[in-house]
Amino acid sequence: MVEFEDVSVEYPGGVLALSEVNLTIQRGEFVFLLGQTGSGKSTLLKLLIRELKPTRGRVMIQGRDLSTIPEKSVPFFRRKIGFVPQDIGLLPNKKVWENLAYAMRAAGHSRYEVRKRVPEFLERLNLLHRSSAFPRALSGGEQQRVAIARALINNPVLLLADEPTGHLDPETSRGILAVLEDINTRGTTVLMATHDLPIVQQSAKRVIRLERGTVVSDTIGLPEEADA
Amino acid sequence: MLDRLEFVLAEALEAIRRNGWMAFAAINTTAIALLVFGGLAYAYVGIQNRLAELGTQFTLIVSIKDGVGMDGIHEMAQYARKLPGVKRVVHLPKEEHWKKVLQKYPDISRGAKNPFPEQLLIEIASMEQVDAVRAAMERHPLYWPEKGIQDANRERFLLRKLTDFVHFAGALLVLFTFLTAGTLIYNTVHLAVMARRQEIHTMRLVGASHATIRWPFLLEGGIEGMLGGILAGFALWGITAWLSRLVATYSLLQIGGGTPGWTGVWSLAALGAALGMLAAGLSVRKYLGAIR
Repeated sequence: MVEFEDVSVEYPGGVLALSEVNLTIQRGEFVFLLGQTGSGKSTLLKLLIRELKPTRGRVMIQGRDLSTIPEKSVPFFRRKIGFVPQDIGLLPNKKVWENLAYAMRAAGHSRYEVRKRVPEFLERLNLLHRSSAFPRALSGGEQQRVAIARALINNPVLLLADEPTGHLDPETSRGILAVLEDINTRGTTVLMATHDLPIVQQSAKRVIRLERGTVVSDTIGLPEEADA
Repeated sequence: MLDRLEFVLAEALEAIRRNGWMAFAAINTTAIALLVFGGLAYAYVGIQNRLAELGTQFTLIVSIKDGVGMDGIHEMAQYARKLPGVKRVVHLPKEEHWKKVLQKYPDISRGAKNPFPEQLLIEIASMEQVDAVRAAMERHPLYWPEKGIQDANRERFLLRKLTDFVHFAGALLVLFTFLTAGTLIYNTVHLAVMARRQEIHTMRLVGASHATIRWPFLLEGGIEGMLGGILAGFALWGITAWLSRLVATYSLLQIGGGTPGWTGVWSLAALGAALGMLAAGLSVRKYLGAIR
């Protein structure tokens, strides 16, 4: 499903964000991308949504080298990938349901489809009662759930979540993890970047650990050195 | 297609609502620019129509005393033909003139007595010879001083000067006002793009195409321009209606000829929309590309 072949990313000024990363993620997997701030997690996710191109190597999704996607086609490619950004990125002047509707309308869905699908997703993420609220009126956990609902609304094959529990209390974080696990059990491949060790600990999933742009471990469950 | 249009239009209207006062300023400046343009265009068309009415030749229309028969008219025409610079002399029978008036204003002229004299239309080769021909005709014994000589040559000369003014000074004024309105719309859209950087970034992340992001901004400019054009159209309609009444009341120089009406309103609205979309397009092209 996802393949990284000797991928390096060097930012202007010579900062090496990723160095010769090799990894493969199979369809239907739930993978934690664990690492401290600056370890290269966000860069790796940005490669997967074609916000960045690798300086060297190849990034592939479903066998397609993302560097070969023409600039004009990037928006169409992104509709197949659900992305929950670190800053949540909800449209502040749109209500909860409008945020979801926008993602659908931007992807070319009709008003009829929006009316049918948005309430379904809001209900699935327990947000139906908040559908007419603006993002500023929501709690952190609710905002994250809206961002997840928006990422899922176009039925993506891959869901990427960048620090979705970053600013949440432990209980809310567990709730968000449960939502992502539920999505995964329905067949969507999930890649979640985090530096939240307790969250990773409670879930016996695959953990890829990054340090200074390099993959230092790839294990099922938390590696011992990280646990310590 | 309609569904898509509705989505993009709704986004544009929402953007205008959020932009508030900047949008208001852009609409008003566009209205002023288009009012200046519309006013000058209206004056130009009016002058051209009046010039067309006056014809392209230098002419005098000389009145002949009442009761003069065809022999007298023929003799006076021969006299005119011999004058230096005269190219052609045509008899304008008073009955023909009256017939035209009856057709044009049947209510006013019904039952009235024909007030027109017999006339000679004299075409002259150049403006410099007009005064000499006029003086010679005034000396002719069959000339009727009370009815006088219609001399449209000075009016035409004045109108030509006015056309030149409308051409050059007007073009400058229009350019200046268009640039001001265009710059304001450009800045309004620029501010909207900057204020919505984060939103645009998010839109890109959810897979909104370049066109989906760009079109609401273009429509925002277009709608602001169109509203400005509609305002200008109605203002021009009002002003020209008032001027027409003034002209009718005081028998002033008639270069207007009615009001531009709905045609004027729609024309200025279309022009405003085009101006707005152009300015917004330039702004979007410059600033939207920078947001990834």
